[in-house]
Amino acid sequence: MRKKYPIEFIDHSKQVVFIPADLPNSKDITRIAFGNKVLDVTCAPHPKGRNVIVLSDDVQKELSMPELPAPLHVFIDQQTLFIGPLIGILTSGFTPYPFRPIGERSMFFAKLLSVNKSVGALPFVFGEEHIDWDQGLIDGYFFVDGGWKTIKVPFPNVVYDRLPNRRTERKAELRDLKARMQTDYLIPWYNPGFFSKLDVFERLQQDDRAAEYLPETHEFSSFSVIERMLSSYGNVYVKPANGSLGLGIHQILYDKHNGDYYCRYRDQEGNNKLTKFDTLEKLVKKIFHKRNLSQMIVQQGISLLRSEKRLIDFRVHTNKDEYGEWQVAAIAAKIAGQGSVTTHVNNGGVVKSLDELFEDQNERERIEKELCDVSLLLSSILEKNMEGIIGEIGFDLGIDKSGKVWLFEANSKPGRSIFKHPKLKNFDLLTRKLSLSFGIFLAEKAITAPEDIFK
Amino acid sequence: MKPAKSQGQTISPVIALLTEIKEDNGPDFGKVHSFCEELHQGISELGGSFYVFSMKGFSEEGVEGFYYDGDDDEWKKGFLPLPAVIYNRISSRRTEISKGFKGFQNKLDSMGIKLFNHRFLSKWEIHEFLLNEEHLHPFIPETHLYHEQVLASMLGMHDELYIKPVHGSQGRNIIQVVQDEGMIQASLSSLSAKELPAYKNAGDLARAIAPLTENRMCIIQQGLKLSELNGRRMDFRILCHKNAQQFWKVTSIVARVSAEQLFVSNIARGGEVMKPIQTLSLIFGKEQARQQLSLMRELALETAEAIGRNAEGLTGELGIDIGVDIKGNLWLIEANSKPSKNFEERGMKIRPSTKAIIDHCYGLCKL
Repeated sequence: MRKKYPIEFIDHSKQVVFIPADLPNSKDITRIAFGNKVLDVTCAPHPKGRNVIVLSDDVQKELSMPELPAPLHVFIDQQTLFIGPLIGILTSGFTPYPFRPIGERSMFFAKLLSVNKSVGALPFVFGEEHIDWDQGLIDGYFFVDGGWKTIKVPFPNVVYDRLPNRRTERKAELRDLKARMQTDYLIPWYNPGFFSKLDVFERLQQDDRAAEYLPETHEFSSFSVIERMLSSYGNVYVKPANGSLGLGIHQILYDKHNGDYYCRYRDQEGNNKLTKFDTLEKLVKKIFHKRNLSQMIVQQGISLLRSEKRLIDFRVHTNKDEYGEWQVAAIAAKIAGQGSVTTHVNNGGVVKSLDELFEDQNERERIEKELCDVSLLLSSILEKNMEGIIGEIGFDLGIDKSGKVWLFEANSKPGRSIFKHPKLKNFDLLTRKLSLSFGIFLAEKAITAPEDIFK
Repeated sequence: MKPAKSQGQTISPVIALLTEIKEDNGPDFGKVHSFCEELHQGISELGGSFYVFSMKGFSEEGVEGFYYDGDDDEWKKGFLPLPAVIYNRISSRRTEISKGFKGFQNKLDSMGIKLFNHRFLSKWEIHEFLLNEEHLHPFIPETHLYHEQVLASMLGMHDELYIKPVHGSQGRNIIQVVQDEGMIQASLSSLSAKELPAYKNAGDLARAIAPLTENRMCIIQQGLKLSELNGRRMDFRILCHKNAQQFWKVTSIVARVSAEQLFVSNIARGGEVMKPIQTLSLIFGKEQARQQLSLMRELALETAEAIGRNAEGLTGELGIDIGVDIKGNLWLIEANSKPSKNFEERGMKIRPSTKAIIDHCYGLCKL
């Protein structure tokens, strides 16, 4: 069982380190560590038997430990007492304005950092430009009661990757930084990158347990593939391989009786369109002439469950918890706007909790269980088949009219806008807590059993 | 008009506004009178119907209320079908805490009629809701329930304090306390800049203001050194509405600049409305002003969400007051569950806040 302790700092002429009275073998401790800073010290159990850590100011300074009122975890390994964990959250797009340092994502990060007291960790946000490699310090952004504050701290125990998009992820400086922190400093790195849609499908396909949830999905390589899929499924979806927010999703339908093709999509003005063509070639030429078809994928259409004639799909958010186990952190239903291809809110869609959507409790429970089971199974399969340490996944799932679950997409950096729905607020809090709790798990592993992480 | 059900799809919903009505020469809906005309116009354009009623007009069979007769261009009394959604604009707190109102709400619940903006929220309730949200802490001024000992300890920490009734509105009965060279100076917002004599200690001040604080619950709040425009106090009113998809949105932001020599900027106290980006740019420069304004929106939305989630019943509209201090930091001054409608100009068009209310009503009909 992990333990958290308050940290107290005292002014003292001599070095003082008191260790919580209830820690076993505290006499053996000869070193104390915070982030990647380690210091030789002489420790004593707290003289009054209190369960707190007391450090004199010279020790605090030596370790670059900020004075913040949060209880922290301790881990003991090889006579070293590790206090923390210090969780570095990497992102980019910093502004020169201290009251809104990460632009429009400042509030998101403020909320993420605000769960620190309840989980027992010291999280901070940083960018590549805040690292001082020579001093081994990072000018980290902390969110405290007075607002945003930068404090120089050691390198963190773990890095949580929240780079905002694929473009920044591909930058040479950030790729170097990632490699250097992982290989030279052995800092575990979680949520390493954006999944590519096709890659996810190909990797899941390798596992028989996952295959049954996957609609047939291919690169947009030839008309014959689409023709064949249209004749087996009646309709297909064509979407960008690396898209998000439902942008650029098209549904192609084939009418067997008169041989017409229909395309349902959202035009540039944001209107939902349904257009008829007599051949597939004409359709593709008209609708996709501006798009790079090699960046598109084709997916089997599914006859989804509907509510008052509107399509329903589901978002399930899974997180690894403080024991490194997958948990379902959130489930929401998304109901499409009238005549819309997708259930995205910016396209007239509505988010609902399962309670709101299903009046029949048995039905709701059955669907909830099915969605949870599939998401947890897919999470563990994806984790084994993708590179890096994955801590959270957002699944877009559908249920067809026969009740079968289908996977449309899995996102390694799922959007959180659905959590603005009032009924889903508690889920929001839970995912935030879990994403830091998993950092605690990883930090402990890296200290006590690094071979499990750096395989 | 036909009765609309609140369950399922309603194409032409019946929406009603609840307020006090004076009936001497034609109906008078008080402060929301012209707003009601706008609501009527907007809702009829969408094919719905709208009327105004007071508590005593309500019965389970139907409602005696006023609908707008377009042919005669006037409000007419009628016995009208039950509404699907009620927008609560009762202006008296006393009415809302009465047993009759509680019974009325229970009746609505059992009939499936949705009432939003459940009731006036007190400043202390709102403070407690916001304190639950760790990420809002940097924006919340230090606030306590007022009593004499708290006054003394707050004077030990802050040079400027405000004492406000928890049920106050429109900047009435606010006491400003300023410490200067060992003397305590207090002024009252109700009379034009009425200054009380200077006091030597907290006890003397507490006794002097006892008539104002004894019979009503008050909060005491840290003063904020708000930035000023040419020596006039300034704050911002952000009007937020929940849209049909149940997400909070910012409908409008205005800067309120106080009348000279006054420490409240409420329009009701002679303040003046200005464009927020202009006022902020004058003080902080354009680029920083843009960031502050963005943060203001984000902060208002977070605040509205927190209040909406914590308050009982449905909340669809909130007016959030935010101040900017001389360092450029933002502060949540207060939130109002029955915000004034007098900030936007009323031309021939339907104002954004009216549209937002209608959108919210239609959204509630679909839930």
